[in-house]
Amino acid sequence: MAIDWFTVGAQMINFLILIWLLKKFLYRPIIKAMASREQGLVDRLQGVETQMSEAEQLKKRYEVSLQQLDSDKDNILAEARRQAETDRTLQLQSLNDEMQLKKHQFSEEMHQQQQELGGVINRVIAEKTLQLGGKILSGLADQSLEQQIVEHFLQNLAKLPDAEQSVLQQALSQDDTATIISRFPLNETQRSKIRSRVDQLAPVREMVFELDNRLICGITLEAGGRSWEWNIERYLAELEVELLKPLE
Amino acid sequence: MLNNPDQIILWQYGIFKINATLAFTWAVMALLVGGSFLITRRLSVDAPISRFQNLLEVIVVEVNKQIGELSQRQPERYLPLIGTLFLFIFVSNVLAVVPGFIPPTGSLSTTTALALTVFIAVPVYGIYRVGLWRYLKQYCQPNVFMLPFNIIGELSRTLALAVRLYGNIMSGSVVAGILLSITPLFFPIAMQVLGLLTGTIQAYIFSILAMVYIASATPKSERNL
Repeated sequence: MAIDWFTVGAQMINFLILIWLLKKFLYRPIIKAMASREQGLVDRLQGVETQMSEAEQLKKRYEVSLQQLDSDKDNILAEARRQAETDRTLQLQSLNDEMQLKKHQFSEEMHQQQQELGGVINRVIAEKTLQLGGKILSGLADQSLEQQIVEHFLQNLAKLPDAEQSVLQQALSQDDTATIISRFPLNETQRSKIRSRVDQLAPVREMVFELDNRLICGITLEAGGRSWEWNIERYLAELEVELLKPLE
Repeated sequence: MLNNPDQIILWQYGIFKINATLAFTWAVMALLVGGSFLITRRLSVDAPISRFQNLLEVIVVEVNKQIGELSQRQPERYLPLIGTLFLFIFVSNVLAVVPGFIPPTGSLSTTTALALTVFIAVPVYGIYRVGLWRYLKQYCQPNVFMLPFNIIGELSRTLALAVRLYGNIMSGSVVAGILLSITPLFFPIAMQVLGLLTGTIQAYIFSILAMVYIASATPKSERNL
């Protein structure tokens, strides 16, 4: 078979043209599209890797935060427990103190009430005793108890030791006024007896008789800033002690 | 019976003539360029991509892969020549099943033209790659006495390339013609199917050999990807 050299040349030219056309319309656009897609995939992969690394970092940060939160929670719980324990101890202490205080107050009140009760009992007993004593003395000697008290007071004055008597005399002479304080009003006989007795010790310019309800049963001489008295408080005190002993 | 498309003259003016070889070549060119143009004018970068775009991408990727494996170089520079060789021969051979179509590859002129193109491309690529002096020095390897043998080898390689393709395509047509005269009904159809297979293989072999020749024309030390 012969070769047609014109056809050979024409075919070579055709082939070169075909190369150029396919390069323009086939290879270049396809390679470009594939390269773009590849670049897109690479970019997307890089984006994904970036997001993954960010997510990893975020995860690590959250884990650290969670650990911190757990640690904080434990600390807070421990602190709360410690605080609660402290509060409980303090409240117990406070309640204990309050209880002790109440107990003390109660004891004080009890003691005060006992004392008040003792006082009341003293007064009642004294009054009743006086009434009883008065009745007995009146029945026995036909004398009032008051008379007996005055007599007893005067006797006591007379029985004072010498040193005391000199003190009394000195007091009476220093002061112009001698005061007799009694619970009950003294009659004139009693007053003159007292006055004469005092005058025996030392002459007194003026003698004042006063009443004082606080005296349970007795009589007091005041002169020169000092006082001499007799009353049944001492006896009552002994009686009170005896009475209150079972109560304490 | 032996249809040489060179001899079917459609138009002639002096030495200029348009024969069936040229006409069918233009038809194949129009089909390839038109199809490529229609598919690649609306390329999509991201998925989904069209089937035809996918087909073209598969072809380009596979050709690139073959070139890369054979030459151990970046395939982009060789893709237009090797890819076009494959596509032109493949389409021409496949279209042989179309009644009335005479494949241009069945013309010795066409195969000679393709072989001459490769024959010219080999030194062009080699000189472009390593320079004129180093390329010419290869013909004197291992010594200057080998120069004529190297030149003869180069020429015979081109001749073998041309005749191989022509022979295979023409043999298909000749066998089909002979069988058609003996058993006119079924056997030629089977031969046509066989012709499709041999045509595809020839397209592949021609392209691969062209690439091998081009790659072998460059010193091995220069073969780097």
